Amino acid sequence: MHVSLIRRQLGGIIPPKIATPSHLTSGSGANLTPLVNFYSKLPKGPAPSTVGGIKARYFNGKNASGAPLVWTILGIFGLGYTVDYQMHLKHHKNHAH
Amino acid sequence: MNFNHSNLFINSPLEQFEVTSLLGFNAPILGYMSFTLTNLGLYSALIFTVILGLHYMGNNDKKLLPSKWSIALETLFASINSIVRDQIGKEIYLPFIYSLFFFILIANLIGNIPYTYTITTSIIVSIGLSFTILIGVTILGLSIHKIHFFSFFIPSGTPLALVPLLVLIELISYLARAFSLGIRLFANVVAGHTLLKILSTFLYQMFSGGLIIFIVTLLPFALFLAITGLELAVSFIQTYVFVLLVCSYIKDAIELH
Amino acid sequence: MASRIVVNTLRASARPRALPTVTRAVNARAMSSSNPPPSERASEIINNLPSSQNLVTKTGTVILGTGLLATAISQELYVLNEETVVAAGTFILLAFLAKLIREPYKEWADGHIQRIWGVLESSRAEHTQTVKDRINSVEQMKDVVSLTEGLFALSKETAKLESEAFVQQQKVALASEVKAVLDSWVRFEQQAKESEQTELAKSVIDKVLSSIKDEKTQKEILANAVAEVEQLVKNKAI
Repeated sequence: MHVSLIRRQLGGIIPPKIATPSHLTSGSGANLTPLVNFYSKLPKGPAPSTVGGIKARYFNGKNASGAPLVWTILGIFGLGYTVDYQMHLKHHKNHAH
Repeated sequence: MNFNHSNLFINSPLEQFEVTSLLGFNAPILGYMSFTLTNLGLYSALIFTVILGLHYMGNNDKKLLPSKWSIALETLFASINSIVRDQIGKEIYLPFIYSLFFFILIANLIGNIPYTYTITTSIIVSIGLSFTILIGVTILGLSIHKIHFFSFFIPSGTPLALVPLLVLIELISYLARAFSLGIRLFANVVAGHTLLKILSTFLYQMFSGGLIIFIVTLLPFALFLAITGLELAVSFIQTYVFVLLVCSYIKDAIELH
Repeated sequence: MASRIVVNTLRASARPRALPTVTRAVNARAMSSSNPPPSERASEIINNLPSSQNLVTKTGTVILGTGLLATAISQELYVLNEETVVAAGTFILLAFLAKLIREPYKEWADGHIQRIWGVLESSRAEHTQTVKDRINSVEQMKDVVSLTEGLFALSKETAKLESEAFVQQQKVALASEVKAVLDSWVRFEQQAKESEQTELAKSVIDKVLSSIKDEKTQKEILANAVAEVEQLVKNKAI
């Protein structure tokens, strides 16, 4: 009689459990440490622009334009004309044979 | 009188397809070997540079977000990839087909710029390319199927008596592929460039005939513009056809009907 | 000879248009700037250059181009021949195609890029939200230690109080029990005394009654009474 009485009274003494391990792992049993490790290794802030020059100026991101295409066409045209001129056009110029 | 003068000025419309030596010297080695840079060599180097430059500049630095250049390259890659997957079914041949596509396309497009030399109008390039590919395809078929590769030349269900004849016919048609593949490309491009050259010669004569004729000539010039556009389209179409046929030949070799 | 004619006509057609425009443009620039310091003027020109939408730079480019071409032709550095027609045709066609393709391509590419951007951005936002939720759920556990400690302290105190109360209760119980025992003792003694007295009275009455019943005693009592009466009479009391 006395023992059960004491037990009943002790049951009232122990406070309710308000924290469980499942709260920390969101119930799936996953540990937080991999997540934290992953994020601690990520670089912070905006990415540094590594490549400069023509590529950054005309090709990348918002700078992409058709200008290089036009310049390439004009350049090849100029090259072709120069070759043609040196090969035979200059022999025709003042008096065409 | 004037026109006669100008006529002397004009060379054959086929002159543009000649391989000429731009720079040359005889090196005093191996019995005075002659080293020359021909226009064929120059433009091959140029095509190589343009293709490499395009892929270096357009590669977008491994960023996730595509740029307007890389998106075009990605689209081309996707369409070539779909050709390879539909035709062959094995993507291991994709790098070869992709490089082939870009080589022929850029060669044709550079040829469309005035004053330039089109290397695919050189028969040694076109036929050489197609022959090399066909030899490679034959080696591929032999290495996969060993001796069974020759069953390719005998259609199933032939009477024994007809076998020698049919083998001969099939062999000829197989070899004809090598020629037809190269000549198709070569002939189309040469025909287009020759047509443009002839038409431009006429137009030049008409343009230099005086102010009124100059204005009148603007009408045929519009037609000429359309033909130029057609040439541009032919550059793409011939590249596509060439690549498609190479794909189907590879498929024939690895699957033997 | 024919090329001469063309050159002459080109020259004739180019010059009257080109020269006034140049002078006009120069004048306009000189008037508009109204003599600011040279460095400012230079920066203004530099600002004007990259944006080719500007009318002045556009006409400038056109004038420069035609001028250069005219010079090249007149010096016979550029030889006019049938390839020139091809060049003109090709460039006109390319310009036309560029104009035709530019906007649709831009739209298509922008749409595509925007779509990929949207996917990446939304997944990033989603992930950030997940991590934030997780942090919040963990944050709720932030003061769980102190809270539990407080709860334990409280329950300790409760236990102590309860034990004290129990002790007091026991004391009260003992005292009341003692009182009850004592009371019963008192009651018992009282009853014993009462019964003793009753006993005593009864025995006395019984003795008296039995002695009354005895003849000797009756006689004695009678004798006593007679004696008393005699006494009284003697004394003359009655």
